Amino acid sequence: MSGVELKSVRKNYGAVEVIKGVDLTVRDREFVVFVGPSGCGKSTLLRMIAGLEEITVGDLLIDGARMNDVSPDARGLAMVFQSYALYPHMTVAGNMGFALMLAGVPKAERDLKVRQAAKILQLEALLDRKPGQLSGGQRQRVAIGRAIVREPKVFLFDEPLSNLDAALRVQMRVELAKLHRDLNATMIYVTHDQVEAMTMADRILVLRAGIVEQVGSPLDLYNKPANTFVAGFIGSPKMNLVGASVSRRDGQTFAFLDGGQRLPIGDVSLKDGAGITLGLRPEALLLSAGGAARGEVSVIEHLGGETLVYVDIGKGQLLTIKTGDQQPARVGDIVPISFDPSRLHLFGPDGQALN
Amino acid sequence: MENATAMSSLPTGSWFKPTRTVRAWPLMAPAVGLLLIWAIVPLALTLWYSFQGYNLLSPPATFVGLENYYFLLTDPDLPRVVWNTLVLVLVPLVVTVTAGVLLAVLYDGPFFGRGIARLLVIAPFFVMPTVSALIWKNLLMHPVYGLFAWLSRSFGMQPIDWFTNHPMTAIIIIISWQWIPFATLILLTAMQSLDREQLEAARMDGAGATTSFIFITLPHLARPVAVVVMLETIFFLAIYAEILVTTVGGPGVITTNIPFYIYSRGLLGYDVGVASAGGIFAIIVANIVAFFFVRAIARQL
Ligand SMILES: Nc1ncnc2c1ncn2[C@@H]1O[C@H](COP(=O)(O)OP(=O)(O)O)[C@@H](O)[C@H]1O
Ligand SMILES: [Mg+2]
Repeated sequence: MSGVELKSVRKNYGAVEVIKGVDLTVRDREFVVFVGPSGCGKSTLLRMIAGLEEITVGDLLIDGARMNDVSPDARGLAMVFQSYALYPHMTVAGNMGFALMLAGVPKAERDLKVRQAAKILQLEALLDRKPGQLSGGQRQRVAIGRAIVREPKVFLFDEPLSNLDAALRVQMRVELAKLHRDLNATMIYVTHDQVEAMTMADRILVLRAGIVEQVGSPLDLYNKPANTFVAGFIGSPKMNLVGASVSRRDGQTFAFLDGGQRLPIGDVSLKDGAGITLGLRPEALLLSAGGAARGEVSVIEHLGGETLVYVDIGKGQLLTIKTGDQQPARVGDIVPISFDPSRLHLFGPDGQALN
Repeated sequence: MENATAMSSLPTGSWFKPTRTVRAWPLMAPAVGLLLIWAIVPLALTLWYSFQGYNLLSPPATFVGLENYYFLLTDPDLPRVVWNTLVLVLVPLVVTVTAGVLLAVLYDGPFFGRGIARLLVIAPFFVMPTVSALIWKNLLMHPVYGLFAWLSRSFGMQPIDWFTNHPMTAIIIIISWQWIPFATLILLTAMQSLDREQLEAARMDGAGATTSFIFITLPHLARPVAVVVMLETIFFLAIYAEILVTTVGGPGVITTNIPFYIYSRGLLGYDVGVASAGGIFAIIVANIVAFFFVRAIARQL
């Protein structure tokens, strides 16, 4: 059992509150991703778990034991830093075996463990090199190897892939997911990239300005975003968020779009004239007749497998529509837009999801 | 690349081979020539006078062969002088580098009044050697009026007469005081380029303050320490003002190093010939020291 529990954890730097009360239970062997825009406090939260930052208020429990005042090395964690933070004067083997050496593990046993970890990460040929003689991807592996060797209860990663090029990032993403399965370890992973979060996580915690916006599985977050922030943050291309106001006529409820068009929506418990936001994913929109709205095609992006059509629905409001069709329309065409009403997200005046 | 293309367009077997050196030397000649004259003329003059019997009190100079060298090398003071020179290089080196490392690590962390503290630790470097030696001699180490003497007396102890009883130690203290700022400055700058995440990683690996100092900070400082050692060696081999102002090489030759020995032969004894031979000898000693140090250090750089 290697669970991590955060109980209304807060962090202040002087008068500035950076983490504003986070509650979370990371279950044994779970892969949890903290995601959010830059500066929202992800690293701070991770470093509080690691013991590199003090917890101002609240409790941190690992395996049920309170860890607030336990030193970082005694918490049974290993961390992979964004800069890798390899020791430049030691060889790869030295880097990976450093913690064991400090713990007084005999050399033979140490070498064995280092070699085992090196084998998992295909680093065997590089054990005698210094970090300066390695490529970015290899350094990344060494940093992970250094964590593996310690056999921690929980792995912590702080944006470990952000210094790699796009191709390597995809490859390492897959390898990390595989590593998680092979090691059967609990992992907490920080990233600003929602694709990384969606592809690797068992559960995602979305953080904004020190506040938890939503916690849930990737598909939960995709299908039922709790508010406009999560709706806009998760999913690529971004969900279309269109401002509208509620209006009722003949027992039917409509949303009057800011662009001037009118869409029927299910009943909502809001007064007439209340401002709401409609959320529609690009992949939920269709360019087909019988549609609720229409607009003028202003840009088309061909990605090969998919095509992104940007449609102006009035007053410069652009809707992104994703389709598999390679030639769905031409720029300047007036096109009808339709969607499955069950895939419409409605958000109230406060940005929280209705329903 | 351009040379290569230019060459291939020439008829093969041509006597004219356009190389970089051929085209560049007329442009480099003035600079190289000036530097050469700059270095060679004093050296040649010293070498010339070292073979002359030339006392300022009884000119003119006459050729005496190796007599000056014979005098120099059989001078019973010489071993002591060479020893003093080495001591005045090595001991201040150890003191300044050790203190510099400790101060750099200390001043790197955040604390109240750090800006002022940093300025103060650098300050001795701005004091001229003669002035600082005078301050130490008259205000601090003077057996009657000095601050140290006053301190000793207020604790009921006998004041130390530094320049009579511990002259080498006194000079080493003065030199170290002047050069600790230099070491601190360079090492403090180096500390600022130490990756904080490395220290944090070490902390997570179970390293305490001492362990991460030994395994992370010290290796990081190895290069700047090498630079400090190299530069300070050059200056310490030529220490002169501090001795002149305080002990004048004495008592006896207890605090005379090679530069001061040359001065005392040349300008106190008026014997230009022996002084010049001493100069040549100093160059040889400096080269031997440089050979060992620079070779050890160049590997670091
Ligand atoms: N040592 C510090 N002192 C004051 N503010 C800090 C400190 N470290 C981080 N912050 C602030 O805390 C916020 C969160 O930082 P961080 O956790 O690094 O964000 P990110 O989500 O990008 O990792 C930022 O606004 C940052 O300016
Ligand atoms: Mg960060």
